[in-house]
Amino acid sequence: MTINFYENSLFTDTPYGLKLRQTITSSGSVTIPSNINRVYAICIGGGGSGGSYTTAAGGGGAGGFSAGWTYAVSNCTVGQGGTSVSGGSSNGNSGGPTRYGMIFAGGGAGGGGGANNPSDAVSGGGGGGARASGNASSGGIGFTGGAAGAPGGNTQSGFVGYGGGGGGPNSSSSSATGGSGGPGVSGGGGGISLVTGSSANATGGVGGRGIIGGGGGCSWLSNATPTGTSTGGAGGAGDLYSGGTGSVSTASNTNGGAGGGGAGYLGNGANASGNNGGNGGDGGGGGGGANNSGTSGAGGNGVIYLYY
Amino acid sequence: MRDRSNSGGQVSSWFPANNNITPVSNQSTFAPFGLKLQQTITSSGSVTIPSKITFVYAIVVGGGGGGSGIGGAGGGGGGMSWGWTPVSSVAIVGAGGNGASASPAAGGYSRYGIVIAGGGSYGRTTSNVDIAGRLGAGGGGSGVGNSSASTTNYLGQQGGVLAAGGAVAVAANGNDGAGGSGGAGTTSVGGVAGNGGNGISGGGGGGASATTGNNTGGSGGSGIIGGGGGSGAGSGTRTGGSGGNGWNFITESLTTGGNGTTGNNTNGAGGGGAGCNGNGSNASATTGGSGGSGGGGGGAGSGSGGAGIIFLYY
Repeated sequence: MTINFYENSLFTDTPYGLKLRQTITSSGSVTIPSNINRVYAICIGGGGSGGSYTTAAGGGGAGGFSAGWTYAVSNCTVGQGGTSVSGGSSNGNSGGPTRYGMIFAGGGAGGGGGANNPSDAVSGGGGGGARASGNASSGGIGFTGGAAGAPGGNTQSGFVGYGGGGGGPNSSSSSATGGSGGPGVSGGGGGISLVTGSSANATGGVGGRGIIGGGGGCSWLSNATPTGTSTGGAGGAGDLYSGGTGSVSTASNTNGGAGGGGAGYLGNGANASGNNGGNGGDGGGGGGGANNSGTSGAGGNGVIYLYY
Repeated sequence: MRDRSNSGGQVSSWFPANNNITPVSNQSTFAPFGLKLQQTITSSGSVTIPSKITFVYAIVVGGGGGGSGIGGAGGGGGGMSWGWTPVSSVAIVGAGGNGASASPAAGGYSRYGIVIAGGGSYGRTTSNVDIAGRLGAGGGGSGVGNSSASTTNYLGQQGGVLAAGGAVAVAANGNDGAGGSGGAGTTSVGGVAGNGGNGISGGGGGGASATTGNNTGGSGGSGIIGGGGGSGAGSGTRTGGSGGNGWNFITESLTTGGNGTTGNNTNGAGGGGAGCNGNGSNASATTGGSGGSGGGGGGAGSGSGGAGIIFLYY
């Protein structure tokens, strides 16, 4: 048997100097030149959608981000963003996973809004924010093994991790702000604020910052004649794009602010409108939560980049 | 300083994509041999990378945790992560956690692209430590009981588990790991607190909080980034622990933790832990030493943690 050693002292298995050859935004076949046996792939999972609750729901987590070498293959799966939910008692949907060869990234977790806690994220995605009187979920472990961010408890922000944890709820008789989504490579969704005082302000938790941002949480004024301001949490900022703004309300018949969409790797998150959360940005942004049984923001779709 | 002045080669020219092997690792585990340190970033903000560069090798260090009060514990060293990442136009550099007697702060996380490191956990004076060192950062010590653990770092390396303390003569040392856990605390008269666990990032030293007798704080754990020293309280001889030592991998030289203070019914503060970019400060009277630049943990006596830092190679 003969073994060939590289004599070049600079030999190292790195992506340094590679060129971006393909950007893939939908599942299907992939054509790689026949003389290419391996490629360096970046995979981003779909973002989770926000929840919908009768008062205030949490934002969805951002899609996971994974990168590395893989053998070349002729097909791929691009995760769709979690579809929006409405009606007032639903957790958001998790984003779909994205895979090329052996490079795999999970989707972001959906935001809280249903009777049960939202699911934890997997493979790098951000956790979902908590609804009123609910719990947030954990982020996902990264492809390198980096720890997941733990969810925030009551009044707490989500914790930092490869996938940030979802923000916790904050219910109070005085002005309050929901827990922010945990920061990370993929940010967690923001938690909610629910305020009972007549003249106090409620502000939803901001989505977690990351390369990809989580969706913002909602705000709610439960007093019968509120005079304060209710402002939904903004979507989390990304490195390349911005999160959307939350909606603002002072009217007693709506009482709430919905969450903005988190920034994606390919586009800005959308602003919330009325009771409806903003959609997550293209490239895995988390969707904003919906208040007053409105429609949550959908998660942004995933994407694949191939270098060779 | 070692000569690393050769520029990096283009992978497509010396490791062509039609090669008949596929690496088994998803992420390069090789050091960035042949690459040159191009940027050292000490504050959050925008980053400019030449347009022809698509990937860089980043070494990222989080901020150190803040130390607690006299009789309390030191903060953990900031986490350290490294690896390849797509270029990004922004960097986040974690601030060191503020030291305080009652509620010191954890260090901030740092991130460039996908390479992320957590901030060190804080020390505690009168309670167990309730948050872990995140993403490889060192755990904080306690002055009365259990320290905090450290979670897995960016590369999946295990952190140290917490050390249990309480009314014991000699409290347990923190456990070793990628991030060492904090040293346990003791409430016993004549108590000796545990040292912080060693690792890439050291845990904070525990505190000895009895109000009478001679009491000794634990030293911070050592590594590339050191944890802050714990404090000894009491009416007799108080001995503050020294900060843990570190290593400057740019200049290839030792960085040192600061010394604690000693006195009769006074002093007893802990020294600051060494950062990867600077020495920890000595304690002064009842004031804990600050952590060194590059993530050093703050010493007990309200020493603040050192700020994080980012190195970019391409």
